[in-house]
Amino acid sequence: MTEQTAAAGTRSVKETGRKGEKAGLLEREGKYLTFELAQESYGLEILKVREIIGMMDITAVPQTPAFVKGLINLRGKVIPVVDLRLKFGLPEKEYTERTAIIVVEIRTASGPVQMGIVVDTVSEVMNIAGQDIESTPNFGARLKTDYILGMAKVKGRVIILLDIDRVLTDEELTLAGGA
Amino acid sequence: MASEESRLKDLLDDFSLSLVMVDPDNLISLGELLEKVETLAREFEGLDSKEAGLILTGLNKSLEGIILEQVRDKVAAMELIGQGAALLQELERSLGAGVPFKGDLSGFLAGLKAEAGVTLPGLGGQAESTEAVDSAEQAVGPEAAPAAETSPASAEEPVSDFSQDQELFFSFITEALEHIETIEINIVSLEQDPEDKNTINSIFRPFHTIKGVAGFLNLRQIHHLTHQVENLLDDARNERIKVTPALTDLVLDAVDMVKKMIHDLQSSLDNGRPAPADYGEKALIDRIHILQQGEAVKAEEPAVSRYAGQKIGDILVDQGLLSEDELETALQVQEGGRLRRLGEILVERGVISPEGLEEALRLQAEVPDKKLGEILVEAGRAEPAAVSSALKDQENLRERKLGEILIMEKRTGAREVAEALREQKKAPEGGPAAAAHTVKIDTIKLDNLVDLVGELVIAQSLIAANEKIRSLKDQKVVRDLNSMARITSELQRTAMGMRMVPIRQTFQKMIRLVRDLSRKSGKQVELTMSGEETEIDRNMVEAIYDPLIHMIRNSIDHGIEPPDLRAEKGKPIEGRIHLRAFHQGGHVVIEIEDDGQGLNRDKILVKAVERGLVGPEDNLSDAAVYNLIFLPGFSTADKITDVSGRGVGMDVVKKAIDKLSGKVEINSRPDQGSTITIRLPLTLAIIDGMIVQVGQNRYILPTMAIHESFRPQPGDYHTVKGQGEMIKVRDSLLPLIRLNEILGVETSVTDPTKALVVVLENENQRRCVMVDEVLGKQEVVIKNLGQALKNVRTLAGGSILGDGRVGLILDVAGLFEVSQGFSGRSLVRQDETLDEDWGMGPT
Repeated sequence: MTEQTAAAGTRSVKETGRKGEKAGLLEREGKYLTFELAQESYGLEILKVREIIGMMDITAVPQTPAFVKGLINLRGKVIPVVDLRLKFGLPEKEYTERTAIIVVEIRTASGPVQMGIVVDTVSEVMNIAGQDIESTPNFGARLKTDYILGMAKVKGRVIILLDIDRVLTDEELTLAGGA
Repeated sequence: MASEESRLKDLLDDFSLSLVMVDPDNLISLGELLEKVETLAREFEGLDSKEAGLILTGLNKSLEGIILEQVRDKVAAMELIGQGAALLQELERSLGAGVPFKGDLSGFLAGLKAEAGVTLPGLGGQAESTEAVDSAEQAVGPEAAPAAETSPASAEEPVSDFSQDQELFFSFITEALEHIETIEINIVSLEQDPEDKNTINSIFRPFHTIKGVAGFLNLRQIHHLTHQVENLLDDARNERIKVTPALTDLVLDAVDMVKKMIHDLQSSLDNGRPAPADYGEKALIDRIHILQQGEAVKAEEPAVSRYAGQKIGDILVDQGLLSEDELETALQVQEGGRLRRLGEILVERGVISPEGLEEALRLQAEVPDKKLGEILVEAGRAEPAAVSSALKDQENLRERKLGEILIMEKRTGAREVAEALREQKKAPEGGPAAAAHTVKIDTIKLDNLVDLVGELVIAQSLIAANEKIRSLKDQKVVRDLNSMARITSELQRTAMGMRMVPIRQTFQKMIRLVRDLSRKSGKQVELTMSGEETEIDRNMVEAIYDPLIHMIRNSIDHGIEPPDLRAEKGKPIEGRIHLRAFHQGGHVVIEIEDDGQGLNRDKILVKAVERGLVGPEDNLSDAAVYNLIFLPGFSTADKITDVSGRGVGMDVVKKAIDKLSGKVEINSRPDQGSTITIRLPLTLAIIDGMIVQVGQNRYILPTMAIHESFRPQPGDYHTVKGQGEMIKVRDSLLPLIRLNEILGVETSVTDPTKALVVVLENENQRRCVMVDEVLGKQEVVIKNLGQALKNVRTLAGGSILGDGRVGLILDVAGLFEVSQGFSGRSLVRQDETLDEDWGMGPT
């Protein structure tokens, strides 16, 4: 592949040898809400975030996978809450006063659905430029790379940009074990 | 997998229910049935059953045959489809139970060949009509298959080339629709004055025009149909035939069909989808020919109607075809039409502002002879076109009959007005009805409101219970808090009340059904009703419609005897079905009572024993026997009619009612009649719940499912080796479910004699469920748990408890299911030691 310099207003494609993906990452540019999980930084598309609430009582639901923490009462609506640490196979951590629930609205087969995700702390909303986003290297089995929109490099940190729809609409989520 | 099976079962039930509702002449419902067959085919694919494949293919082809009018006897073909559905259900049951399928497949296949000309592999031999079958598969597409009887309209219909002349087609569509409006209005006039030549002409002319342009544009179907109607009308205006209700009905039917054709034409233009080849014009055209031959049509309406002499507007509102609001508006238009000023019309249309009008009127005052319209145009405030259009309407709306105004404003259809007019004509004067005011609200907004009000109630009670506030001991604070509590409570009642609508609408729809059915079956049946103002939850209105229809059809088919038989029995020739609704103890009760022949206890019992549903020696009360008809696969009908008798009936009804958390039962007196009683909760959104405690958690059990609760004595506890634990409740031994194990929570209370046992009932099965404590009754609002948790079988929903926390509402059926496949060991923690050996031997 040769270097391509696109017309005015777009950035140049830097690396050779990688097809297609590079151009695609320009699409990932935008505003992200960043949060921390086990000392790693993650980002969520801001448009999918409905609100951020502090930790509250979660009612456990039987026969659901461990990462489905249960249900909360959000101003009269009952919504399910997922613990991202457990979903990603990270060790469980006790909730502190910094632990937060991010309420996201995701698209499912049956329409938009609100769900909460438990994160260690919420950081900030940042604008991430396309050129700072790279495609996902293969980590192996630990973290399913389908979930990742891309890896952003900002201020020396790496932020993992999550495709939250994929994370939360995974088959596993809707399978509740019977007896 | 269990959920797949139940999905299949649901699909089959749904199919059967739709089958029962379908009208073989209604293309849309037939099309829906076809879709359902295809869905079923996909589902059955996974199960790899040859029989299912055969049956489904057969159903598919017969349905297509009916749609394309290729079968001789639609009724017979429909019966066949019903047979197929019943066979499928049998098949599903056998598959589920792992037993071989015993249904009569060959009989069904033979019937298919005879009625629908459908031959399937496995019977051997070529069918003469294989061609018809093959072409049936391709029929609904660009090339129309040659129909069995050729008729100029439906044969060889090449799709007109729309790529050019789009302009022409678009203007045709617009004009044709306008013409149709004119036709509809004038038909209504014709109803009232069948002799008026002018009116006939004003219907003839638009048809003539549409016919002409359609011919020019090569729109054969529209052209042919309108041509026939034009001939009919020509006969009418030349007095060769008389204008009768049958004729106006026919013209209205033709109008509907032309409308559909035009709309389909529009869709093809919009998205390139070709129009269907056949609208059933042939049947309609046959009817036209019959009328043209001047055959007498038997009078169907009774001489006197309920609506006799009432105002047309009231009749339409009563029939649920018009809302009170719309009637008001139309009446105002009618009144105002006579005196409506140009200025008002223009302001209403937003052509000028009220201030602009003021100004113009002032100007007019100065120059009295100038017309307002002219002033406005000159001042540049209004376009000449707008003014002349408003003037036209001003003329139009004046002195118009209410019916016409309604049609012009598109509040109702021409047909409804025509029928209402007929009703009105039947006998002397009546009185007006009272007008109520209604608004339409988006249900999402309503639900949000209800959610928030619920939260408000909780927040308010939390404040009232707050220690710091109570310690204030201030009189005024207490008074104000009480006042707030009262208001919130009232607010909640009102919010919940907004979900309710009177059942009148649903009942009204039954009138037409009864009339149609009684004509079809040759029996005379009158429908009466009481308690129509009883309110039910709006979510239930839809859901109750199908079961009601089926039960009424059942009554007419099996309950009410033919007129001569009734005469012999000394009963009035006209059978009576009475619909009654009322509130009783937190429920809505709906009764369907007929004065027919009642249920035949012996026959039912015989059939039930035959099917192994009861033992021959079982001692059953009359009531218990009658209620056996709600079990699946039941039918004692000797003859399968159009609708009932296929054995796919009452159990589907029961399921539908169960889904609504309701109960249904039937009672009967031989030769006197039967009464079906449906009991529904007041609202789907709220259930009466019992809060129970297990360990640190609280759960909600629906009170409806609770039979009793008590603390068992040591002597009541039994174990049966290899089958688990049981509790003796009076004279029966009921299995014990340990809730903590099913739900996977810890509790310190493991001894049944120190815990509480709640006897739950579901679908005639009873189990004992062990909990730590029963905390109390509470009405809880059911909140849907959504997609993520829909597979958790033990949960029916979530709810917000009094302290703002989420409470889980348990699903009794799910609990029973899960406990059945439950070894009793898997959710017990590894290191837990059992205090005593409760008899849970090795699994």
